[in-house]
Amino acid sequence: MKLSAIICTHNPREDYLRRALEALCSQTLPFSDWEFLLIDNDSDEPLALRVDLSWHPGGRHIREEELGLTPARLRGIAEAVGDLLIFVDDDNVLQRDYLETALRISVTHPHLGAFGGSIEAKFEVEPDPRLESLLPSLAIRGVRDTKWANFGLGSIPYGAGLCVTAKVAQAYAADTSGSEIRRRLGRRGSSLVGGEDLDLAMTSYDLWLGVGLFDELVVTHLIDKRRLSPQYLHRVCVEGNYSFNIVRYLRTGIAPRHRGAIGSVMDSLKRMVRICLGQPWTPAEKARRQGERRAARDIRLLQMKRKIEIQTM
Amino acid sequence: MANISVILCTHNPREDYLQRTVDALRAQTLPLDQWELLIVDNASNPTIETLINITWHQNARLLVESELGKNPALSRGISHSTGVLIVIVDDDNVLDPDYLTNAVAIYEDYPFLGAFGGSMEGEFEVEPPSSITPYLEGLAIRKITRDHWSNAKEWSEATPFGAGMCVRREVAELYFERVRADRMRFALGPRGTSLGRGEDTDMAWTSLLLSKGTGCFARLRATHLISKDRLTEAYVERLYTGFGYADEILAYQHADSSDNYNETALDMVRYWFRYVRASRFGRKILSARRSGQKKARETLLKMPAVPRLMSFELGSFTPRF
Repeated sequence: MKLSAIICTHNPREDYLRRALEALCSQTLPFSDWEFLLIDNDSDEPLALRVDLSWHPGGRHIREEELGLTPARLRGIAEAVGDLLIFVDDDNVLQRDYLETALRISVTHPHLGAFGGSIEAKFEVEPDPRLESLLPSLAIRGVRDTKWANFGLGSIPYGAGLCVTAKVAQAYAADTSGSEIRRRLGRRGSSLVGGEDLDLAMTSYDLWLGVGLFDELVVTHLIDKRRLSPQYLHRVCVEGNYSFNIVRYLRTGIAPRHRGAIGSVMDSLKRMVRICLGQPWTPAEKARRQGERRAARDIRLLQMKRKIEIQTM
Repeated sequence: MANISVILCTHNPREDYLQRTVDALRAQTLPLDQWELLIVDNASNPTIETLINITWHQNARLLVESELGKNPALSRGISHSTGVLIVIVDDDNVLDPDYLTNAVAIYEDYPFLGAFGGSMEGEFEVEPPSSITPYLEGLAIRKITRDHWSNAKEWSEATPFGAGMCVRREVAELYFERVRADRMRFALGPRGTSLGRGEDTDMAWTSLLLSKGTGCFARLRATHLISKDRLTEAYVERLYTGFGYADEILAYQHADSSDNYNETALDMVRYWFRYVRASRFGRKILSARRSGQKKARETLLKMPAVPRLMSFELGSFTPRF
């Protein structure tokens, strides 16, 4: 089997899931080259009863009772037999040639362990223009050209339509099942803390492989109107930045600067300068700072805990 | 087995430095029949013929390029070379004995890289003054602890420096094709500054046009011999003026979209904020860089509309990194 497409879902919105499945059904890659796993992550009503997968000869229902995107993904990795794994969310509509292109890229770029592409948004209702700066935190991104690297954070793909080689996925599974902190990363139920995508993609670096972004890969993210409320957007942005900082700390040891009293004063001064210059902080910048502060606090706690452990050992 | 060409360009070299550079090449572990050596005498006066002995190498040649400049000299060397991989060595770069062996291995293992380089250590004739130590990267000194490779320009970790740079033949040829095309275009135009690393970066970035990346590898190590006249504040300051200039030109040449050169008020505030917090020499460097950038902007404004993604020669002579 060349490729495994995996959807992890928890109580999906029926019409969105249907569109995601339709997009998979109309892929240009012949069914014989790929299998499809639908991981039902503890949905209230088992999906096996209501979703029909007979359209795909290699389609399978799998139920994972432990709630959380990370356990669901780990289950998918364990069950998949393809050489390339593609993670699709239950609200992602893949472009018709997505699987075919992904397979081609994995052949022409054997040095990449994970890659992704453009994520376009389709909003249920038009978003408030004042909140525009917060929209990137819904994992919407345009990729204009091909970019890959074996370091840094600039070419790391997001979770929607994430393509990972089996080798990297297995290394991630082996690392993660043993690490409580890493297992806890990731959205679970109503918690929006992400970071598991980043963690998965960055496992490539451990294997001396790179990660990349390709403009040929396009996925459409369907965005429900609940997700466009200012409160939700703000929360997503804060928690996204929080988890980003935590993963970065776990991976590189770089912690966000802990801002003491003087730092806070400097921040307010900077903020005033920005207002005077007519460029006040956008909601995204505010949320970013909030997430960063929260991460700095937690990382400090973690460091202190480790210090105590070392001292008492 | 890959066949590689080492090109050493030199202009009025310091005799002892050149000698050590050649000695280091002689000590390479890669068998002599797998590489050739081309030494380009770039308008030296007197010529270097008598200075060095290359009879130890069966495939060594001494060429003369009378037009002063690193690009003409390299162009001459490359047109006479036959290797699939070109290693550019300056007359003060002492390669580690396994440099060429590693370069061949990387060439074969990383077919997706068009240009790559490595670590460069500094060997100073005199102890550098403490004020310039933070800016030694400007003298092409950099330590690489982990392999970095990428096809994106904005992450400089993966952009090799000119000293000891290894370039695939097709990349080097494309680069010179473009330089030649542009030289005619800019024959009457302004000639840039005399210092800057522009052409190295430009050559490395040419890889991207061939859908290849660039890389820096920890196992490629060399030593840069630095004479005492380069270890002065004035020299380093001049160097950074050149960087400011080259950065701005390169940003324009290889720009993706934005052609906005105007500093916003916020940029100004940021600049002055940094300026105030910098050390005495740090301030000089900041303003040197800025003056280079300004000069580049003026140059670009004076120029007729230039098509994007066209490279042209930056200055007629760039220092030998």
